[in-house]
Amino acid sequence: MRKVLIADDDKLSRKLLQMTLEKAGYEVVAVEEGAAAGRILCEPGAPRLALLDWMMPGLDGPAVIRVVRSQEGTPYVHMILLTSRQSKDDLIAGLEAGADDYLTKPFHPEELRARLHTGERILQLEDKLVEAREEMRFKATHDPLTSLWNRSMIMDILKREVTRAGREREPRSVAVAIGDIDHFKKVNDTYGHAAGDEVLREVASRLTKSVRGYDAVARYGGEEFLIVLHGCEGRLGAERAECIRLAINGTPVQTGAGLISISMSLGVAGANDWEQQNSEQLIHEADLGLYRAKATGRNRVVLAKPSGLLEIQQLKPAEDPVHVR
Amino acid sequence: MRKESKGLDRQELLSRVEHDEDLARELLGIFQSDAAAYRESLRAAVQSGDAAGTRSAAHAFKGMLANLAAGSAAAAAARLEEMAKAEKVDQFADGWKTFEGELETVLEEVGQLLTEAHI
Repeated sequence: MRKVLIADDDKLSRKLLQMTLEKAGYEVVAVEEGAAAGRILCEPGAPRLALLDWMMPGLDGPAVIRVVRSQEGTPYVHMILLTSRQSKDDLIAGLEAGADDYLTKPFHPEELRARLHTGERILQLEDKLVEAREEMRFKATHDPLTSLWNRSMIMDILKREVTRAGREREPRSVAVAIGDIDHFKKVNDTYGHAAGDEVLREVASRLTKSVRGYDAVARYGGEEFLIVLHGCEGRLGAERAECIRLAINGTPVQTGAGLISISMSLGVAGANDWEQQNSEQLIHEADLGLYRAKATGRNRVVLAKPSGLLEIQQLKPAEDPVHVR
Repeated sequence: MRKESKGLDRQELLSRVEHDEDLARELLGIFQSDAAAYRESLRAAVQSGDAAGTRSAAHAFKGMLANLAAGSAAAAAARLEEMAKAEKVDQFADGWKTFEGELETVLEEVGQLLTEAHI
């Protein structure tokens, strides 16, 4: 049901408005003073249509409008001033305060409904524009196949995290993991590209479920994924990467072409291990780790440290990484 | 036969409430019960030469009376409001006298309407 707020200190006028609007199918929130109207209109889930009497004790109609318009990031509210004022200067002042429309009192019910219908049409248009903007924003920042962050967005996230970690000098700063699905070309060649796409989507889903809500996962390109692990030094990052590897390798992927077993090789680098802390270097080091993981048999995690490339696959939790360089 | 209306335009009132007689009766009841307090507040403001108070109370009356299609009384309230806006305190007594007469007529008619089976 469409919700509308009415604010009028005149009980008789309020009652008339309320009954007229309820008969027209609106859910009415009625208040008798401006401060309450301003508060309600700024709350989440507030009515997006409002009829505000110009003259009210405390906050008058234009003042309520200014309060609501000063809020950022809230849905647009279509506000109509109710006024018995008819001078051009008054109407201009009301519209310049941010009113969308005005209605002269005493109002006629049909005119009232027509004005509200106009407001609803404007709100619908506004909703469509916001939806289109959000869709464009999503498309600009996400991979269309997997809905993960895209490459440019994850680079921004990583840069921001590395800068933050450098500024705060946290020992458990940030780690980056690059994962690549092993033998993915063979999946496409054997089962077809549709099955390959299903595998990519399932890997994306397992990656997302394997990390914490505040970590970031992106499709870095092709069958390659990049994960930004917040608050992790290198070793912890590698342990998380190992969890990811197990989640990918643990169960075959159900596709239209049948069950497909897959695995992932991952290279990891932690910002705390490197003196020059920048995102490009971290990615480069993680990439070297990934290259080593591929070269030494795939389906494994390799941590890149200044002292060398360290494999942690098959390690018991308490043991140190095995140096494979 | 129904007495000719002086203070309220019944057809206009019914048109405003889309011929919902119960709602019309409810609005008349609200006016009847609130008018005395508004009247007292306006009278006090007028007598003390309080322009802001007169303007505010006259404005409130103007709105209520206009909603009840009491055109003549609403116009008298509007004139009093204009006097107050222009701070013509010396004209308040005349403005009040005219308005009070119009208000009496409306109140009498409201009382009568509320006793009738149909508006």
